Amino acid sequence: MRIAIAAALAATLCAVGAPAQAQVEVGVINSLSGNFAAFGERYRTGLQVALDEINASGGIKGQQLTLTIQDDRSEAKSALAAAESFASKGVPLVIGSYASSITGPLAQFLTRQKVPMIVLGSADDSITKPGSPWVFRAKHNSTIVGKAYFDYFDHLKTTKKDVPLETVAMLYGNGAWPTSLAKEGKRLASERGYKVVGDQSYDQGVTDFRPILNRFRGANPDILYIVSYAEDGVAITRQMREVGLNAKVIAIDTSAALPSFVQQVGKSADYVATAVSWSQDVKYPGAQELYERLKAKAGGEPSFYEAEGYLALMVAADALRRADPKSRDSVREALAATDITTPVTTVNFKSADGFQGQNPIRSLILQIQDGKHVTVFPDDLAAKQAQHPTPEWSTR
Amino acid sequence: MTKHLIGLGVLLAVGVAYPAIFPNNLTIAISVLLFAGWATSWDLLGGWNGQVSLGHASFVGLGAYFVAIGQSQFGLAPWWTMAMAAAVAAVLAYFWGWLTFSLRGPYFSLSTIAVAEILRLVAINEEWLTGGATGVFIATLPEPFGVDLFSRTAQFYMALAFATVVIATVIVISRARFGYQLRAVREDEDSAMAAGIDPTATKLKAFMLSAALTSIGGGIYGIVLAFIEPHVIFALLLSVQIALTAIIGGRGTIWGPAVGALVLIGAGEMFRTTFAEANMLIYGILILVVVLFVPRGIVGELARRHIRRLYAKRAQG
Amino acid sequence: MAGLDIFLQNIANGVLMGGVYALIGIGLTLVFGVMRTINFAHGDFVVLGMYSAVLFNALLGWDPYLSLVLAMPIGFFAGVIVERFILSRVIDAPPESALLATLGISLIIGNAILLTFGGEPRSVQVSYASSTFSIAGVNLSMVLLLAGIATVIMIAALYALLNRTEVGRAIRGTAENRLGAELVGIDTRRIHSIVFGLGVMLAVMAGVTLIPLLFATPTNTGAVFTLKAFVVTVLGGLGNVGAAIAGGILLGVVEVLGASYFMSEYREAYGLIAFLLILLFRPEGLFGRTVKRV
Repeated sequence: MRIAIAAALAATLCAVGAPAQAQVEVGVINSLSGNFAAFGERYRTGLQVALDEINASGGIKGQQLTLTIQDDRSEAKSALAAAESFASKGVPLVIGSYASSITGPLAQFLTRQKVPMIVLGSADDSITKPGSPWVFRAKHNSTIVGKAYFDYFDHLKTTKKDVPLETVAMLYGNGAWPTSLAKEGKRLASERGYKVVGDQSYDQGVTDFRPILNRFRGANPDILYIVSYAEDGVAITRQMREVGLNAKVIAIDTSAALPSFVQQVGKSADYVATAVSWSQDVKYPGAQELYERLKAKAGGEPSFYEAEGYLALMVAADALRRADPKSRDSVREALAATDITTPVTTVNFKSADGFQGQNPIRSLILQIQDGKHVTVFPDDLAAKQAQHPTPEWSTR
Repeated sequence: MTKHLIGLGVLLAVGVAYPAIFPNNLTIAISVLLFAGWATSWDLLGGWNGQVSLGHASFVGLGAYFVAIGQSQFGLAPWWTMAMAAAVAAVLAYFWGWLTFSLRGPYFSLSTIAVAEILRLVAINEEWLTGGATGVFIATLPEPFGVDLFSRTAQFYMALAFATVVIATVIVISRARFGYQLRAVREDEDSAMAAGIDPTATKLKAFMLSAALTSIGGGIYGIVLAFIEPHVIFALLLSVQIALTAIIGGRGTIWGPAVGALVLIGAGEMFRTTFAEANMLIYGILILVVVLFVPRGIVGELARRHIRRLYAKRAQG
Repeated sequence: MAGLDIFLQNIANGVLMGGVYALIGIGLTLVFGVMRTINFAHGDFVVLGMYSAVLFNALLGWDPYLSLVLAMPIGFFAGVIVERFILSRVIDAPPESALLATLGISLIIGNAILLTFGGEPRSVQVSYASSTFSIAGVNLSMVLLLAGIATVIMIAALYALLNRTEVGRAIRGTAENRLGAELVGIDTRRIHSIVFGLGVMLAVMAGVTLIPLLFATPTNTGAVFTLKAFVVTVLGGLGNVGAAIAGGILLGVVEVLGASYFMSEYREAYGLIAFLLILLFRPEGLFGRTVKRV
């Protein structure tokens, strides 16, 4: 950790000390302290892996690429101060941040300052819908992820016709992401003929979900659609087993995608499905090799967050190579014309369905099988078949 | 009195010139001015009247939401919605105070946390009212006399006007009959009552004024952010920061809360840009140091030393 | 399941959650009762206890309950040191100074943990995390049941300390009337150190005991715990640590029943509403004796 601080300090000092000679500087606004620091750490790992790769292969038109990372303390007002300093410093583009409560104001400000921005972590629809000509997002949003889940449910329904999937119960935190993904889920459920038999949200507390899970047990849903952050998802899974809430499909967004989920839940984690933007076993060229590099840099098991950090900087570098880094207009045009393939996903910012600057990334559905995350959907990217239906707790 | 008016003049003069001198550091200055205004408003109740509220984020949120929803759903200009927010904040404070002013000391503070947390949950859960957990964007704003309210310079002047008006209000009150009533209630409610002051009425007035002023600053904050989420704007953390700012600067002093805002926001920004992840740790240490060495707050301690010197002189003379 | 069965199940869950809340709140009840300061760092001390269990588990492979042996004395002395060097210096300053000091301590603890352990939530995985114990058709969670037993033991021990020992009598005397206690020869400064030491020790013990059940994050969790602890303290009332159990159970039952039969999204509000009602209509708490209007 001390090394990391020293490195960050050194990075800041270098960026301040050395005048812009033969290097291209990209501004990053990331949550390194405060409530979202866990995510900020992961994003930074991914950014650094991308930075090493870019500079090893000649940088930006022969010039070194440098990152200036500013901490936003997980709050909007600090992020906006950082954005103002980047805007006045003349960086060609800014990458940031994780929470939508920070990224929303950032997008508004950078649009007015005419600074191209690549979204780092926020997945809220509202960032790119209606969006702005200056804001680009290579990762997913709630519309894409919601659709991925329901495509998966439909897929299970058609492949195993003897297992009826008709009812769904939803449980989600009251944060921006869980709420918007639940809203999208409810819309899709009614559109595709699923009956919503449970709809409950919760505030951050002491992770006791027994009352809600007991309520759901009375409704006996076929599908559990759960959107929760890290520890909440772990507690929900443990308590689901405890109260004996059975379902044929259990989907837990965000929480179940983290490597620590399997460690903390143990055997009960099996059969749980989760949507991600990237996974090590996805059938994209270079995915496995990227996994090794992310793992080496992180010093632990990487997740899709690292991959998203990597993706953001790769998109930036690609645009900078095709543009004049001194002109933000030219960088913006280059970003809009992006058409690349990375080990994380393909990227193009073709606007559709009211979105602007949004990459129509394909979300993957992972299922935990024998304690490992396995890509099971969509079919052409899957490593294995989904295990379906989920057996009852009493038989496991 | 003249001393304070000169201070106000200096604030305005520096403020008017600031955007020309530091055109690239406006966001941080806006934060300082907003916090100065909020902390000074808070101090009307918390410092002058001795009722420590830990729920003032509710009023910030109220102001921000009135401006955001008024603009995005009803096309109402921010000056109208800010006036409405101030009125509603005063009414809310009236009921809030009516409910909790029978409690004293730490019990009052705890009750403000409870009320504010319930309001936060309402803002998150009642989608028909606030747009819910996913937040509200301000996409367009009117342009009075061709001024773009989205520009940081315009926002800076709004925040400057806000801070100035709040501080001027406190200067006036500090010399008015109401100011003496506030202090009498703070020192001893029973004696104040014996002197013919109604403690509850005094506290209610202070709370209503404090709430109304805070909500106006909240409206400006909404414009600055242009996107607000209930979790953040109604957070206990923001309430605590407002109280912290006033206490660090010096409770019950005219310039203390403003000085507190300058010191805390300035230090926070400096730590953020130099210490990376450790910045909040060092911020915590700073708070401890201030509490231990200047327990009455920065301005409070200075004023106390000044008064002691005066007495010492008089004793010698 | 019939309606009555579900109701009994919910009551049982509420009571067990109440045990958890009482455990979180007990240290604060003691400190608040004697020192009358709003200790914003209380939840962070609980979190510190959780991380100590995580640390001992990772380094030495210790069961969380075993790490109590080390965590308890460390917690006590940490509390004494914090009181001696920080809180005792501001005890005679305006009351907000102590509040501010605990806020600073809270920031320091949370961020020191963040720098040491990173931001990911931590817990210790135990084999019985989802096990249940059945009585008359009601399923009781094993981890909750263990936490409940720990609560009863801890509160019984504290009760014995306060009522059967010389130090305990001095603490109660200081709580009721500090000046009076001074007059009869009690060194209230020393008592304050001991009380804060005990408060931190109880917080750390709560953290260690709850780690198989709850999760620790550096900065979020502490604030949640602090808030719950205050609710427990006010619901139960001061001057009687047994009241913490009553306060905790009331909070647990109100929350669980509210979330089961009304809107679950307002779960955290039900406890706060009960808290406000008790403050306004029975300011001495359910079982307290000290009047809060002073």
